[in-house]
Amino acid sequence: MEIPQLHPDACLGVQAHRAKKELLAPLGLPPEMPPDWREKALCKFDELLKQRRSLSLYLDICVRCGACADKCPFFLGTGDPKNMPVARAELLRKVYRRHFTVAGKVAGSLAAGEELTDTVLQEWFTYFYQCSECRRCAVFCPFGVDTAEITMAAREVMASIGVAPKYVTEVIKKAHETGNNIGIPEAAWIDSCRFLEEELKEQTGLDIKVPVNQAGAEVLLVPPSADVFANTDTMMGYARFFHAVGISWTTSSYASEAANFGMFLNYDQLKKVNRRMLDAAGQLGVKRLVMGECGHAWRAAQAFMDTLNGPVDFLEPPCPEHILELAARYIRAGRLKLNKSANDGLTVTYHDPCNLARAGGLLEEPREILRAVVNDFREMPADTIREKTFCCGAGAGLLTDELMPTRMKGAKPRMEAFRTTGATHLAVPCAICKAQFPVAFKHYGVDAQVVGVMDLLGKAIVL
Amino acid sequence: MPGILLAVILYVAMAIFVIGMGWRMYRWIRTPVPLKIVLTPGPQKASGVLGRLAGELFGFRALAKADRTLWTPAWLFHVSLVLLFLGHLGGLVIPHIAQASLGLNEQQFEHMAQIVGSAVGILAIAALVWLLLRRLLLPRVRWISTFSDYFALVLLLLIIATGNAMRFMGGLNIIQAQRFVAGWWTLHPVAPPRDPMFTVHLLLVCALLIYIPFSKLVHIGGAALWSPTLNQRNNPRQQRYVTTWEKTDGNSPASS
Amino acid sequence: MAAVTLAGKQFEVDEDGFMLDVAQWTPEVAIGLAKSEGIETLTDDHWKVINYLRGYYQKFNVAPPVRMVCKETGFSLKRIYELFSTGPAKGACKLAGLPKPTGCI
Repeated sequence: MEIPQLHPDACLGVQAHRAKKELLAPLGLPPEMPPDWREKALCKFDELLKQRRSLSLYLDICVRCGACADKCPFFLGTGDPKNMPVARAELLRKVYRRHFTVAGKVAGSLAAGEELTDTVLQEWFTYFYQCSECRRCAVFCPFGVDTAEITMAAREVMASIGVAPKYVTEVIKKAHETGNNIGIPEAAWIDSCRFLEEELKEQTGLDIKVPVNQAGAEVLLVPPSADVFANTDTMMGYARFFHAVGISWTTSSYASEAANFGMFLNYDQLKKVNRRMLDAAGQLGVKRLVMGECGHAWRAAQAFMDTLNGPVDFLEPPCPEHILELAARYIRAGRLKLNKSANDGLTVTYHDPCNLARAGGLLEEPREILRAVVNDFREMPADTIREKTFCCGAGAGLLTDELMPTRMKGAKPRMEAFRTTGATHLAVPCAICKAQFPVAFKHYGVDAQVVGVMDLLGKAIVL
Repeated sequence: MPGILLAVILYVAMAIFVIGMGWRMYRWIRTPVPLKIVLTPGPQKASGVLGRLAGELFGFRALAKADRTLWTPAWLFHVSLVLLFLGHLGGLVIPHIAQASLGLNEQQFEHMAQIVGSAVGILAIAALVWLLLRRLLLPRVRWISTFSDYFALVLLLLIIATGNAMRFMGGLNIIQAQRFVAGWWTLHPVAPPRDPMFTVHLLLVCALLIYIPFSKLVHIGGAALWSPTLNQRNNPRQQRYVTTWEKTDGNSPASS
Repeated sequence: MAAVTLAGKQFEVDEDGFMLDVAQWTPEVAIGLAKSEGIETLTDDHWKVINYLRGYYQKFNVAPPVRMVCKETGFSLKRIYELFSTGPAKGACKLAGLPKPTGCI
C-alpha cells in the first residue's frame, strides 16, 4: 500500500465522547477530573512504569528508526504523522522523558522532554483512541516494541483521572450489570435463543438447541453477545456444529459476553470482566470452556485468563478452546459430514482479526475450515494476512459512531487488499470486524458481504 | 592536554557508562512482566525463543521484514561497530595475545589491521551517512526525528571519521597508543600519543560513553533480549503464567 | 447533555440524539426526531418497526435482535435499511425512543 503524504493534525479533531460521572463512578474511576489531575496522572504513570516492563523498556529503547511508521493502518489511512506508532508512543514518551529520566530532568526540551499539560492530555485522548491495539507495528520492530502496551498504559493513566470514552465505559458497565456488552438481560437472552431454535427448526426441520444455563453440559460456549443480537447466522452455526458432533453445550446468561472491554480501559476492569465466565463455568459445572468468534476476547481468555483469575484447574485443557480450533479438530478427524456446494456461488477470502493472529496464534484453523467448506477460497496479498494482517479499523474501543472518520480511514488498507481478491464474501471471526466491515464496504463502494467462519461451516454441515 | 587528565576523563566516562548501563539494565530486568504478551505466532519451547532472539539480535529479522533499505545500513553499521570494537580490543588492549592467537608475525598482523580496519572504517561511515540521509530525506522519518537522533549519528560519524583520519594520514604512533591503553586499564596511566586527532577521538568516545546510558543508545543493553513480546514462550494454555507482580512490590493494584 | 425541543416539549438526548428517558416518548417525538434521520414523513411501515421495537423494549428492557425485527415485522433487512438508512439498531431505535444499542454492533 502506498505511503501517504504527511497531513499533520489531520485527525486531531476526531475524539471519542467523554464518559461522565454516571459511567465513571460505577467503574471505580474518579467521577470528574480532580484539580490535581496532573500529579495524580504522573503518580499513576510512575506506578505503571514500576509494574510493567513492557512500558518502561519500550519507552526507553525506541531508536525512532521508523520501521513501524508505515505499518499502522491508521497512519496509512489518515496520513496524520501522530498516527505513526513511533510518534504515537512519543506522545507518552516525551512526558516520560521530562518527568522520569535524568536526561529530561536535566536537559528538558533539548532531550525532547515535555510537561504534562492540558494540550498533551488532549492529544493523548485523541491519539490513544486512534490506536486499535492491533500490534502490527510490533511485528516489524527490531525490539518488539508493542504500541498496544503503550496505548493501554496511556489509557490507564487517563482513566485514573476520570478521562475515558463514553463508549468503552458504557459497555463495561453493561457487562457488569447484564453479563454482556449490549445489555441483554437474562429474559431477553433466553427469548432470543428460543427464537433462534425456531429459526433453525424452520431451516432444517430439526430440533437444534441453543441452550441457556444448562447445568452439567459438557461445554460452556461464550460468544460475543453480538452473535445473538446481530450476527445470528454465526450463533446458529455454533448450534448446528454442536448438534452435528453431538456435544452437549450451553450458553450462560450470566457470562453472555466473550468480549472484554476492560482490556481497552485498565487492568482492574480486564480482570473483573474476565472473572465472569469462570464463575459461570463453575456454577454450571461444565467440563470445558469454548470461546466464540471474537478477536480480543480470544486474547483476554487465551493469554490472560489463567494469569488473572487462575489457576483454572477445574476445566479440561485446552482451556479455553476456540470454537474454530474445536471445529477444525472435528474436520481433521473426519467427524463432520460436509457439503461444500452449499456455499457455491460465494467467493470467499479470510480476514485475520488482529488478536487472533498476533495475540492468539490462530492462523491455520480458520483456513482449514474455510478450505473444507468453500469451493472458492482465496487469500489476500501476503503482506496483509496472518501476523501481518491489517486491523479492520475499529478494534480496541473505536467501534463508535463519533470516531467514524478515523474508522473509515483506518479500514482503507484492508479494503484495498480485499479488492485485489475479487471476493464476494469476507469471512471474519470477530464481532467488531463484522460490525465495521459492512460500513467500510459501503464507504469504499465495495459490493461484498461479511460472514462468520461458523456461518459458512454451519451451512455446509450435512445434518 | 596533560596526558594524565585524558586518562582520568576516560576513567570517569567508563565509570558512568558501566554504572549507568548497569542501572538501566537492572531496572528493566527488575520490572515485572504481569501478563503473557508474546507476539504470535511464537515459539512454545525455550529453544524456539532462543532462536527468535538470536534472529533478532544477529540478523535484525523484524527489520528485514519491515524495510530492506533500512535493514541494510542498520545491519552493516552494527556489524562494523562490533568489528571496530574487536579491532580496538585486539590491536590496542591485547595486541600480543591477538597476534599470537591469529598465528601472525608482527608485520602480518599490522598489515591485516590496516586492511580490515580501513575497510570497516569506510563501511561504518557509509552506513552512518546512509542512515543520516534517510533521516533527513524521508518525510515521515524526518518528522519523528529529534535532536538526540541527529546528535547520536553525528557523534558516531565524528568518532569514526577521526579514527579513519589517524589510520589514513598515518600520524599515529601505534606503540604509544598501545602503551597508553595498557597503562590505562592496568590503572597505571601514562601519557597518550602526542597527536591532536587521538585526543579528539578519545574525547569523543568519552562523550559517547557518557551519553549512551541516558539516551536511546541504551538499546545496546540487549533491548530485544528483555522484550516480553519476543522473549516469552507462547504457551499460556500449557503452563500457567504467574505474574511476578506480587513478588516485587507486594501490592497488586488489581487485588480488588 | 444536549436538549431538543419536539412537539413543544423539551427532551434530553445524548450526544448521538437518542432520548435519555424512554418514558417521555410520544408519537410526536418520533415525528420530531425523524428529520434527524433524513426521513420526511413516517409511513405505516416505519410505525410498524417503531411500535415493534417499543413493545419489545417494554417487555425486555433491550432492543430486539435484528433478525427478530425482520421476522416479526415481515420486512427484509434491506427494506428496514430503506426505511431507516442507519439501520434497525440506530435510526429505528432512536425514533422509537430506545437508548442507543452499543457493544460490538
